[in-house]
Amino acid sequence: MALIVEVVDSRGGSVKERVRLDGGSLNVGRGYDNDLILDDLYVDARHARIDVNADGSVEIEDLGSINGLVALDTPGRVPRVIARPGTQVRIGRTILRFRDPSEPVPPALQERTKPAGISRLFDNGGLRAAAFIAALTMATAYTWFGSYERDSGSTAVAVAVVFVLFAVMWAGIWAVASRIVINRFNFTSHLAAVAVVAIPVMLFTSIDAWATFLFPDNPLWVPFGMVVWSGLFMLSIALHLSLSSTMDRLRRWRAAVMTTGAFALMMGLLAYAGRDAFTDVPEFQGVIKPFSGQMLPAIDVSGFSDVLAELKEEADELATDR
Amino acid sequence: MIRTSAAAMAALLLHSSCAFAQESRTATSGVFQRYAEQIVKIEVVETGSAARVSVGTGFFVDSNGTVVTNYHVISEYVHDPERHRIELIGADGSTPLSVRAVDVVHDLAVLRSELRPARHFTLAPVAVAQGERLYSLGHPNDLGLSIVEGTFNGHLQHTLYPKIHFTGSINPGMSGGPTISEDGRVVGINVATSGEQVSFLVPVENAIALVQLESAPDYQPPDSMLHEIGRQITEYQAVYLDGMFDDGAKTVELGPYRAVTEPAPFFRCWGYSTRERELPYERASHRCATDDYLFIAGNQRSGTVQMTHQLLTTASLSRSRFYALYSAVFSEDNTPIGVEEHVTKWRCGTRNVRNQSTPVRAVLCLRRYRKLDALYDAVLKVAVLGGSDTGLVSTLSLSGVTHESIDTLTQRYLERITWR
Repeated sequence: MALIVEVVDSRGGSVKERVRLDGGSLNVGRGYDNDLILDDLYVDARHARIDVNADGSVEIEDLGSINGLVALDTPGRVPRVIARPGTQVRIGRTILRFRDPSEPVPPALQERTKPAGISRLFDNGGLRAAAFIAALTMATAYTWFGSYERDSGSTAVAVAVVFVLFAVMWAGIWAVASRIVINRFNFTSHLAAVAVVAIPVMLFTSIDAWATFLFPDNPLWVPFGMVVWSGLFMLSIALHLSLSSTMDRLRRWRAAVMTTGAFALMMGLLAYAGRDAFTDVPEFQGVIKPFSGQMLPAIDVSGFSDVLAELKEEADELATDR
Repeated sequence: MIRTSAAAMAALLLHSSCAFAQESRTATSGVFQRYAEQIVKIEVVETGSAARVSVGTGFFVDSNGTVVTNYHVISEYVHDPERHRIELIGADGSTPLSVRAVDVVHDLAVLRSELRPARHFTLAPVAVAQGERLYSLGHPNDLGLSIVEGTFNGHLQHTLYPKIHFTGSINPGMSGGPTISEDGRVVGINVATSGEQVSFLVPVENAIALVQLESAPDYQPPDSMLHEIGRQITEYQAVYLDGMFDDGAKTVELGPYRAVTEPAPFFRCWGYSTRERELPYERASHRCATDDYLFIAGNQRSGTVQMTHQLLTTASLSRSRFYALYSAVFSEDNTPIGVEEHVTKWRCGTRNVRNQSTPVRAVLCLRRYRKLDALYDAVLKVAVLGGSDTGLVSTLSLSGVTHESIDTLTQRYLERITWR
């Protein structure tokens, strides 16, 4: 049975070369007179020989090299190894992996001719610019309506500049990554991706403030908010990955979920570590909105006793914890 | 003729003023010599580091070694007796002191030593005239026993419990020392200063009451001084919180709103407003607070009530921008400081509340004293909803109160903030 030998870089794991063993012998080494020349400083000029015997069996033999022949499933150096499909040996820092030619390979990936969904946005320069301008306008307007100084205009302009700087920096990092991985910069597409995420972030900030104002004691809002923030973070990672890698959709989202999970875990650990830290500064929801009609969910003054009772329970617990 | 008379008058005045100064110096020196040995230095020492954590003054009030001083001089010991000891520092070295009785409201403590002093002060009610010369004795900044001359200026008008206004320079370290008349009658106990010769004394009557309590034949010092302090604070607040903000409460009109003001005669209220050209809004504040506070330990104060109303108005901000300002002012932190050793972290709850006519946003923050049973600090912040160019942020701050008092007062306070 003929085998294929793959030359694998032991550090990167990538296949450098594949050679079909049809019969006879194959000399392996760093010297230029070999049949399989390895660019590896830990390999001898004539390091090993692969023999295909008359019965079709394949054998690799050490030719007295300095670093020898190592079979990956047995410890230490060995003089020779009978190779079968799946056998891996190491010479120097190179791995030789033997494969069966009849081994099946997965079907080819279908080439996308037209971008689908939100990716269409990134292929159109006008839409990319429109998305970015929309996000910038929103950030500026939010600042203006959220400030109350006489020179709020200059504050809004300053925030717009900071937004642009941040977006350029973030998109720039992703663009460099794209250049390394897929050989394309995609800078303006990454900039549009920033905008695509920034718009729902700003919208949800507003929704969050209103919901906190209207339902300050709803216990489900905080976890819901965390889910939304995590979703937006994931969307950001998945969008940038779609522009800077060849990953398919499933892998992109898997990477986004893992990154978000790791980030959330880190934040959770930080919060957990600081949970007992003492401060005499209170934390409370100070957002007030211009709404006071009969529709405003409100309690009676007497109902405020329940708030005190809850706080008392928490404070008593804190006092006895120590 | 006129010139001659004027010169004669000047000479006479100069002569009498020199004579007065001479007489005053003699009197002060005599007072110091007569009474110095009845006054002692008190130190609270941390046993672990053998270092002093507090220095004050005390004085003998009987021949059994009983010493009167301020509670705040020995508060570190009361809060953590395992880690501290109290020492009396006299001419013959140091002698241990034990705590017999405390009065945290009047900031007094009665201590006992093994010493049998040859001379001591005798506490008795005393009548003093405004302007009468008094002498304050103590160890200012641990610089050795000193005497400070000053005058009696009556009792303070705005305090819940009487305090004497003494015009003289009392400095840290003199706390707990006596202020006496020339003939050695104790008028008050040095307790506080607000600088520039404005000092305060605890009237001797309060010290007499505590010494009498301590010297009663069946008196036993409390098992837990902290428990006793908690009890005293609770009793103290019951006196003045009882009718506060009730139906007869005085109110003030602030823009289109009405809110409570000056809840009792011992509150002082001030107003100020910010009208700067570069600001597109105006901010007027109305603040009332008690002058009194109770000393707990370290930087921790208690027993105060403060309320602040802040009226915001604008002629140029849009509704949305005005509410950004309103939120920012409402979010400002004006809670009293706290030390981890004495209080827990704040816990806050927020609700929209509707009293009869007015919807408000209300935040209540609460923290508990760790060592004083069942006492809390509470801060209630209220913002009246519904205005498009006016808003009122009102803050009520209560310290060292029971949860029942907080409940009653926050309810009454919420009821009293309305649109006019």
